Amino acid sequence: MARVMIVDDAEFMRMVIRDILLKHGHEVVAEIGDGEEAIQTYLEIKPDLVLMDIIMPDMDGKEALQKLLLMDPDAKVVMCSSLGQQALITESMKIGAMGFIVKPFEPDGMLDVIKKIAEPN
Amino acid sequence: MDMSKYIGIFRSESEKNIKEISDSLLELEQDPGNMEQMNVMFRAAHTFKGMAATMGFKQIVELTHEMESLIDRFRKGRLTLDSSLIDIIFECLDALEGLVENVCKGMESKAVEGKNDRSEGNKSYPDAVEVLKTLRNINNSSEEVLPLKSEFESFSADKKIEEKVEKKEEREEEKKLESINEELKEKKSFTYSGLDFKVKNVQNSRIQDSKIQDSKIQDLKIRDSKIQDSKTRVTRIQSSRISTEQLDKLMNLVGELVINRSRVKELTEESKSKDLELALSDFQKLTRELQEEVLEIRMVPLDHITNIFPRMIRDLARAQNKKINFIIKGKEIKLDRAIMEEIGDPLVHLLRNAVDHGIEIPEERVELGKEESGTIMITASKQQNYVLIKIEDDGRGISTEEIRKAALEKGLISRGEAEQLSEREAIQLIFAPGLSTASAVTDLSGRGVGMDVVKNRIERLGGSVKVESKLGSGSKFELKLPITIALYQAMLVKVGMERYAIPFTSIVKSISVRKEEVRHIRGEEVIVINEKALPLLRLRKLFQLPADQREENLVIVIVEKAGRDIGFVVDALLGKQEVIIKNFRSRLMEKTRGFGGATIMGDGSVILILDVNSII
Repeated sequence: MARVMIVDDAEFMRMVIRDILLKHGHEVVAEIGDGEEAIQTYLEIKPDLVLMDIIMPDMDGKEALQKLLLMDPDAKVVMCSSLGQQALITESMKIGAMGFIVKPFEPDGMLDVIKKIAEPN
Repeated sequence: MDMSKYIGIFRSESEKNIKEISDSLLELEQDPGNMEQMNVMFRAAHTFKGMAATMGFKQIVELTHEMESLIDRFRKGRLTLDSSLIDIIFECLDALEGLVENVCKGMESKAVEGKNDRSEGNKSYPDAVEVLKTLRNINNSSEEVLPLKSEFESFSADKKIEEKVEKKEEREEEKKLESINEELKEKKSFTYSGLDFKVKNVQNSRIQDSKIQDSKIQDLKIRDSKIQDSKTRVTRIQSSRISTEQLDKLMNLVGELVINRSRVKELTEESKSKDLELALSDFQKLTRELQEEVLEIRMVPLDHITNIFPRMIRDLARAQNKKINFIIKGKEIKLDRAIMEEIGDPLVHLLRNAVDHGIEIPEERVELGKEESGTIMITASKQQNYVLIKIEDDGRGISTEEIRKAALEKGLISRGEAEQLSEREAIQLIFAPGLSTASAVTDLSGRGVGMDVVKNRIERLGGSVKVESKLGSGSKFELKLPITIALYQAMLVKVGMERYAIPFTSIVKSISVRKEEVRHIRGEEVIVINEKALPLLRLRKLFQLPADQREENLVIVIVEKAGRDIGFVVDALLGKQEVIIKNFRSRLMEKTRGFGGATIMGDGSVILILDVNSII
């Protein structure tokens, strides 16, 4: 079980992700719509894991990831993106994302990634 | 995983994304270098695709994917966004709108296991398959406009090498990723499909630019024929989950409650009980709050119907080679949903007229010493008892000469009237039913078709419409609309033994004048205010009651009808009152002119509501 923070500008995606997580016993500690707020909230609630959309208005996922890691090098961030944006995923991995999920995600695949990262042992 | 429960949010977010892209396109057409709008558009397309993929809507994914790729090329400066490409993306958005509507209907009907009326579904949407083809042609053909010297042969060879390099890089990146996430199933299929796509790209890169041109032209043809009907449809209001019937019923119940409250109030006053009075004051407060809430639920911002206008104006202007600057002010103003749904078509009509007949082509405007771009502006504002919507343009205006001539020809007015009518009165003739079909008017003066329909619609709502125009410099239409439909603010007046209600939407003001101030012009009674003659209508006379002999002062309610003021002479003003309108359900009353309905007072008595538009 992990305490997860969802960052995605689309309410639809947040809803779908939240439902999957809750159904499988995870706790959704925050749902955020943009990068700036994500950083603020992260510091306040320190989730086990962050699911971060890459393409968002204002501060995008990559930038938010960078800033997050600067403040907390141990932050566990999993990037989410729709197919067709390989380059962005690769860049995020270089910055230090722990994993990535491609939309549309299979619930099992997503849960696997979360499990591996949140509970390394 | 059952996705049907997300259909509602999918729909509203899809609509939001479509709207965002559409708005950005309109901005970009004016300001092609606006990177911020470009990014907004890209993000919206991308988000849309992600949602559709999650829902498993393949067709929408394909279309949004191509759209995203196309926008990405604009964003990266590989392709220039011109008006014909904007047309294509608009076409794509229309197709997407159709697809979204269809899948949503499909899912909703599956969810309730009931039949759903699909007949009205995608009738005016472009064919998604065709649009997809067009987009693919553009995306798959050569990326840049080729410099003349480069031969296609060598170009595609270069391309292949480039692609190979890219592919190699990609594979290396893949490996890195794989080490982190080796068990993710999606990964493989995702990368392969990406590669597939690239390979296809290379194969198709010989396709020449002319193909883009072809598809663009074809598309434009489709567009032009569709502008006529596709954008005149007014979007229905979707966001509320309460059915309109339920809302109406709720409204009616609250209306009954208010009437009942007045009854209780009167009984309380008779009984002179302190306790009852106290209880009543709470009761009154609660019913008022309830009433306000119910009214509020029924309200929707004007944006619900105006949001399709910028695009509509843009398409119309483009089809006619006109340049138009379109401004909407006050789109946050709220109106009752029933009113909102009724005024969509009239507004579309007025706007179309302004584009078709009002605004001149740029050359003509320049010659006239006007700005090259015409301006059409909608301004909505909330007045005390009604909402005012103005539609102004700075086009050629309406020729009253032509209107007089046409009205005379049609036998709507006599020769004498034609000469006597003031400019202001003459121009109101465009609302006359017979005139509207006169093609001469449509061609010469610009306005005409269906203006009587516009007027009828607005008046049926208890509103009014008037027009002002100056030949050569533009026209202005003003719609006055009640804020709510079932509940009016009205002035109660007394005439003889009866009480009547006059809706505030019609009232300009009330005055009292001395008997001696009445003048006679051509046998008609008038009074002079602000150096203008105000014709009087004695309601006693109209209702065939004997004149009140004792009167020293005349109590006059000045009402406005089609831009003209008229003074209703009443016995007394009884004060402002909220009235709940009960429509007549009888043939007899329907044909009786002068009354818009009736209302029930607290004491149970029935009061007729005067309809200013039909009384004179």
